[in-house]
This record gives sequence, C-alpha cells and structure tokens, in this order.
Amino acid sequence: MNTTSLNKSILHQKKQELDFLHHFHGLGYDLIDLSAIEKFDWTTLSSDDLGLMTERHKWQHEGALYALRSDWTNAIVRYRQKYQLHSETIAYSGPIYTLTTEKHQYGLETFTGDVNKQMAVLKQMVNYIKDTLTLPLSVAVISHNTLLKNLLSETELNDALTRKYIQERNRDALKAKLGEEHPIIDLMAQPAAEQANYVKTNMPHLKRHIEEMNHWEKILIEEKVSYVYGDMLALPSQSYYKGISIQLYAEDQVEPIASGGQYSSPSNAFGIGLNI
Amino acid sequence: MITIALSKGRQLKDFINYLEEKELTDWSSALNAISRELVVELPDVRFLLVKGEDVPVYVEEGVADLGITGSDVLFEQDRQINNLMDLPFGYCHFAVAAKAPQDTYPVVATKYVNFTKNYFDSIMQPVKIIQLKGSVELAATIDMADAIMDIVQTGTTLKENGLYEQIQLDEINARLISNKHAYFAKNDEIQTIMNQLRMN
Repeated sequence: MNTTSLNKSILHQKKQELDFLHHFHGLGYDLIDLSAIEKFDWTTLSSDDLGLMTERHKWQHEGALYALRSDWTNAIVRYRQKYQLHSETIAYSGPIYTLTTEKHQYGLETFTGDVNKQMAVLKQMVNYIKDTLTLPLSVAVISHNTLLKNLLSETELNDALTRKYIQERNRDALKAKLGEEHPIIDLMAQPAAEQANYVKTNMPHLKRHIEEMNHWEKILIEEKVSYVYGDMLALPSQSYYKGISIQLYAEDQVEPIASGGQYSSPSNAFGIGLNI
Repeated sequence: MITIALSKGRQLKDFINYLEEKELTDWSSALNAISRELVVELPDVRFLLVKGEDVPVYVEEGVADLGITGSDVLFEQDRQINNLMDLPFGYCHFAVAAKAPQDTYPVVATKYVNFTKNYFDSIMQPVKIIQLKGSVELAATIDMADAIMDIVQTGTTLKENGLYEQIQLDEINARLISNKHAYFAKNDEIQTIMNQLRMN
C-alpha cells in the first residue's frame, strides 16, 4: 500500500468509527468509553473471568491482576457489576485484543429484558450494515444458549471432552463417548439447515426455544438476509449468555461481520458488536 | 467456490483413490495430473496442497473452508475448527515402542508432545518428553530415550531399528475438517461435499 492510500485508509477507518458513534447517538444511544486495561482482584475472580484469561494479555502489578480488554460486552458487564449506568441503550467503539490479534469493535447494548426493544437494536444494527456500510448480509446463524442444557446431563455438560466434541461438531467421537442412543447423536446427523426442524418435530420439550429462535429469525428474513440457519449446538462461552445468540455474515466473508446476543448479568440485556 | 486444503504425499494418493472409488472423477483427474503445483483450480473448487501439519492452520485461518488431514495432527494441535467426519483412509495408530517391555518409560522421545503428555497423565506416570522433528526411532535405538511415541502403520520401520510396539494406543485415520464460520457461511456447498465424501 503506498503512502497516499495508507493515509486514505487510516482516515476512512477513523471517520467510520466517528460516523458509527454519531449515527447511533442520533438514534438516542448514549455513548460509553472504557479503558482498554481492566483491573481484577485475585480474590474475586469469577469462573467467567478465569475462563477468558487464557485468551487475554494479562500481567500483575502491585498485587493486582491487569488484562487488556478482549470483549466489549464482558467489559460492560464488569463495569455494570461495579457501577450504575443509567442509560438503557449505549453505543461504543474501541480496540479489543486477543493473544495474537487486535480488532476494532463497534457495538450496541441495551439493558432491558423487553425482547421487542432488544430486537429493535438488532434491526438498527442490520440496517446500519446494509445501508451505511453497504454490505449485503448473506448468512445469519441463530442459536439458543440454553438448548443443550436440555439435551445433556449436568455431568455431560461440564465434561471438557464432551464440550470439545460438540464445539468441533465431531459426531464420531461424541458417539463413542455418549453412545449411539444419545439424542444429540441423531441431531448432529442432520444437515445444519434441517436441525431446527428436527428438534421441533422430535424434541417437543424444546419447542419453546425453537419458537424463540424463529421469532428472531423472522426479523432477519424481513431484513432480506439470504440464509438464516438455526445452530442447535451452541455452547455459551460465558455463563451469563443464557438466551439467543446471533452471528451475521456479509457476502463472501468467512468471519462474521457482527455477533451478539442476549445475556443476563447483572440484569437482562442484549448486545451486538461489529467486527471491522 | 470452496477451498480445500489437502495433505501432500501418501495421504493425497489415498484421497485420489477414494475419489475414484466414489466416482468423483473431475476431482481425481485434476489431482492426478499435478506435478509440483500447490494450487489446483476447478470450476467449483480450489485445492491447496500443503504439509499435513499445516492443514488445520489454513482451515482455522479461513484460507481454506475445508481440509483433510490425519487425526494424529488434530490430536496434537488445539485448533478452533470443526472436526466433521471420518474418511476411510490414512489408517494407523499411536504406539509406545521400545527395544523391550519395561514397567515404566520415564523418558520418551516423540513428535507428538501433547498426545504423549496426555497419555502419561492419564496413566498417572511422570514422563520426560524429548521433542524431535523426525527419525524418532533413533532416540530409543541409541538409548537417548526409554521409548518413543509415534504413529505406526505396518511396524516395519520400528523393526528395522530394533524396536517393538509395546503399547497400542488411539486409532488414526483421515478426517474432514472445516472452518467454523465457513461451515455456516458456505453450508450448502459444504453439506454437498460431505454427502459426496461420506462413507457408505
């Protein structure tokens, strides 16, 4: 990249970030900015905190543990556990760091259990991607983070190997571990596009979860997302993800352009972040 | 367009034979015709010919949507990929091999450090692991290690170096893997390929 195009690219990125914040501030969102360095107390680390630590840059200084922000929603959850935030909807932008990458994330959060208000946030994000970023959305994946809780025993759900096989969609290994008769084995044999229907037909006790997923699916279909899949095998990365989770893919892109979902800490909420 | 990363060498030959068996002749003819090319393009698919150990890297990074590699490679690498299904070739197994049986094997040479550590942890025996990149048999032959942990197909190489299989461990075969996001983003195409490659 020559100097001129590099300058243009940097200016474009900065402008895009500012445009995002202006756009959603204009729609009534309050803006929030948090430090990219987060401080933890060794004695009050939660299992969620510990779970994320393997993916974060962290260091110790004067008895406290510090880590670089790796996920905006997690940072906001921790902020809200400590301080009062009076806004119902917020927008943010800033870097997130994994052990090997730095990304810029723009996102929205709404702190309400009202599903219609949560859906309105999703719609606004989808419209922003389509209309302002002019990126057509080709695929959306919707999952329900409590679905597997109803298919697996607590022991199975907490077993590291079982979780790994589910996350890897490794049906052969899971069959050897849980047995051919286990309901998840038949479910995994179905093509991804047909798994939701299979659950609806064969697992009536999970009907409520599928209906919830269908409700969200409808919005994305209305917003002209070409393919909407239901993922029946989602395992939440954090314990506070207890509801719907959504990933949106732009045309010809392998990484999701946006991902988010419902969570429940310290109160019911919904968030969605754009990965630029 | 789907991109598939394949292991070069013996596994590629096995894959071509399997394609012929499944009458996927467009793919098998194109792969049979290669000499030193690393990329093979067909109208609906692009093959990347890479080292077996690198297949999961290409898939995890999203450069390839699908990959075919041995389960030994997947055992050793903790990659964020979908490990979708068995393919009926590349059969062999992990084994501990030594000159003679011993009650314990305190020093083990191997390419497969994680697998070896997990195995000795599972039998609650401490082990010193010496990581080698190749010619692993030599380490036990010249007594640098009490045993080696390696993959064994026929056992000929072991015998030629005065070693014998002492403990037979996990079976290995080829696996179809996918990028986590491509699995959904290109689900139609991936599902078609899975159906075509599925064992009867």
